[in-house]
Amino acid sequence: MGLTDYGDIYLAIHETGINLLLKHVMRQRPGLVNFASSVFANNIKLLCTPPELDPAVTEQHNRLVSVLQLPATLDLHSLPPNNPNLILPDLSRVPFPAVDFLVQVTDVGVDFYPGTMDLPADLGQLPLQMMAFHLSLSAGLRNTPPPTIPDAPLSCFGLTLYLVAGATATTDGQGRVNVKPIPGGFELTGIGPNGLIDSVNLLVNRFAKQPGNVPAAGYLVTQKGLLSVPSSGPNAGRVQVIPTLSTSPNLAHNPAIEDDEFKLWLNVITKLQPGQIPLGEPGTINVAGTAAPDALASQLFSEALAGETFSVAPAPAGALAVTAAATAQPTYDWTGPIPDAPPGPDHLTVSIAGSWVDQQFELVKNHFSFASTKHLEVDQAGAKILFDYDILLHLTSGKITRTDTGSIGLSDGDIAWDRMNLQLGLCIPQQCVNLPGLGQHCVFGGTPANPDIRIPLDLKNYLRSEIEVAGTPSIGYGKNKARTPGMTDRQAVASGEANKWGVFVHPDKVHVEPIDVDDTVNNLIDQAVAAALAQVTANAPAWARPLLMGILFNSKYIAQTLLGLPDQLNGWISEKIGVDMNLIADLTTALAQHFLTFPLFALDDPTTIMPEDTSVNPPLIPVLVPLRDLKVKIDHQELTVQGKVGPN
Amino acid sequence: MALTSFANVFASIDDSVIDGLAHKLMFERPALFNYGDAGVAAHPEALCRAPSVDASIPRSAWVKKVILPATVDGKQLGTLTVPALNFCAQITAVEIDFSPSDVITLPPELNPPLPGQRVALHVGLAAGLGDGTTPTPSLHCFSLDLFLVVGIQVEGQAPIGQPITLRVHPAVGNIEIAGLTPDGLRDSLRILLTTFAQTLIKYIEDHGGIRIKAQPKFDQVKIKINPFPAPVVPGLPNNPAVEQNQLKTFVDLNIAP
Repeated sequence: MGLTDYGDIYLAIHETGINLLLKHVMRQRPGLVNFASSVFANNIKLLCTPPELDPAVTEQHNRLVSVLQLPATLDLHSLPPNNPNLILPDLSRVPFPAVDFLVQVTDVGVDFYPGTMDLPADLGQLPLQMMAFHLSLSAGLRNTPPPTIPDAPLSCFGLTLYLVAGATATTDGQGRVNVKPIPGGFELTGIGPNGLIDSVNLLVNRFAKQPGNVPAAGYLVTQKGLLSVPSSGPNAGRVQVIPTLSTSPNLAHNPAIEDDEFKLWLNVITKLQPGQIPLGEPGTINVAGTAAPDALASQLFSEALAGETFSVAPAPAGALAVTAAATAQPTYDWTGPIPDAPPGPDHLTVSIAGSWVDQQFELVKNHFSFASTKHLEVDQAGAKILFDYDILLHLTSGKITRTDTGSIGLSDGDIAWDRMNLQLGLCIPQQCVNLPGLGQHCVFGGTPANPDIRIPLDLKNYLRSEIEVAGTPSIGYGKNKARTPGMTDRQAVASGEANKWGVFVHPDKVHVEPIDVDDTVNNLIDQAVAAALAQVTANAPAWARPLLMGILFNSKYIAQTLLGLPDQLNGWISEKIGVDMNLIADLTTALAQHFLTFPLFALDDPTTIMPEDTSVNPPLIPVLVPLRDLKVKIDHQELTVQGKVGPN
Repeated sequence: MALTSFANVFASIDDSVIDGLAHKLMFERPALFNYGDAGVAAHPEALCRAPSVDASIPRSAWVKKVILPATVDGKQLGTLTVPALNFCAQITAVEIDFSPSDVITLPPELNPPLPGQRVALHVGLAAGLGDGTTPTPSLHCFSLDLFLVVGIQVEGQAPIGQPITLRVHPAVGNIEIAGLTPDGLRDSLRILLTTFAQTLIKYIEDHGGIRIKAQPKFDQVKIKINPFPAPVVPGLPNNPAVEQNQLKTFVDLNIAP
């Protein structure tokens, strides 16, 4: 059974990954989990529990706590009894007590069914399709001390909250997936007496179970990573990639909480808003059905890889680094070692239905272009024939295939010739003819630098060739070449020089069929030679030109007798271009390089899950999460990528 | 030494009298001290602490019924529905103890025994919540004890024939909440309450204090009499004085024909 049997996209997040992710956030954004009076803002030794911090937090002087301002005054005017004989000052602005306080989240954890978390007895064992959370708090309070003893200690205490919940999910049609917890139980521990804690727990439990009291937590999946939408270019703001929750009747739970994972199945709809869209056709495309128009898909993909260039892996001998991407400044070296994989289960599994994979593969294919110029001189029957081509091509159409053996490929892929200018040059041995009354009249005798005949041919509409590519998905780790020795990941992210993980299709087979030159080219050549000869005989007297043309210089004579060329010039040209000028070999190499260097997907390592926050001074560092142990597999149905959150 | 050596009038009240009055009030007016939802009001036997009530008072009058709002403003969470729960809140004890301490056993945090010229207050609280699903409420009960130590100063004077205004100067020593754990939570709450009380008293002091208008009536004698606190002198270091389990007041009188 495939992971995408019930939806275009399958997502599974393992509890270990979430717990690691939370710890990364706590280390890098301590202000999200520590709240206190301003006196504690940057004084770590006063906190009840010293937080574990990323070194960059202190290096960048980030705040350790979020400062909560207590109200300056309290309004107590309604407290005293209304008695005309009791006179009190105006109590509407009583100063708030001078106290310093602190609340810290010291630990947080998630446990998906089956449960491994030690839950309080009242919550029992974690039921099927449920998850448990725990939140450890440390808090304290003190009288605001005089300036002479600023480090007076707090009265600290600890509490732990446990929460058991199921989950439902909805989509809002705007790209957001909302996950709403179904409260199953709440337990606060660490407070006595028992009656007080039981009452608090009862109150919270009953409050949480009132309809509408628990909000849903939404995540805009189209915003980052999984489904990118263009934020620039002509389709900016016009494209909607809309996830919808799969409602397959064969799916018992969606989301499902099982196997220590939170699983979600989504279908995806890509919509293009009506309007003048230069790059594509308006319309609605069901990704599970037909592929999106190239232009739209191309832009989606471009957005995902905006600004990226990919270098060529070790180039085979004689290879031409000619792909459009590869000719840009090389940025990543994909040949280096892959970071060590931490032990344990995969933390994230993303499985994408085959149709979506096809689209991504199609996009990679569509990003291939090949440009080349070449020169060849052929000695032929004492003459020299010069070939010069200037070509630009890309791939079009073809059928994408996936197999259970883990390969993906393109068959019957056509080459679209954007430019194919071939110039034939003929250097013919000098030919002399005795003309009655005129003596000897000589023609030809040109050199490669100055051929006798130049025949420019625009062949872009006369060539045909098909390609076939078959490959297996592979993972690459691209080291950013701009990184300097000793540069940390954080510095690399700040300077836009993070490393990348890439999912590639490693070409096992690239086949370019012989380039077929249409036989109508023969006529083209005849006409071109005839026109050239007309120029050659232009110096002869007018009455002698027909004679010269008729005796010596008709094109058949030149081609077949004088130069010994075959009757079907188109086949001969095909061989010269494709084989003798190595176009087929060059194209094969370039295709292989392209698929080796242009990923289906690419992810920064470390990945930024929360950007730098410049709304405070000094700015808060971005929250970075290392990715490890990325794996990929493919079958006839889907492509699955798995990975782990790296340790601190 | 005579009781009026330092004043025209001496008046005192023993702490046992006040405690007795409080007990009497709780006995005859239980609804002033016991609060609960409709379920608990209908079934006062469900109260966390069974009140001692005069037999003539019907059970329906034991508990003051409190109706909670159906919804509350949860700010960013929106409007929250308040669940239907059984609950009660009771004042189970009100005690006063004038130094020397012999009524209230102060918790260690308040450094017993009670210092001289101080008043100790003890308020016993009981509360609980029940899930509201049973015909007779069943509550998760707990009790807390609030201890308060204060001092009192009174001063005031007025022209003869005019109402006297007394200024009361309470001085909070400390507050303690017994029964709450862990210690850090109890200490934090104690610090918060104590600091709050001290802040409030200082604010009141800085803004004129608590003033009580007293208008003595001496219609029968056809003379104008105005009482005021006797001044503090070496022989009368405290007025009012909190000592010998009594609150003692020494009053001078201005009398005019």
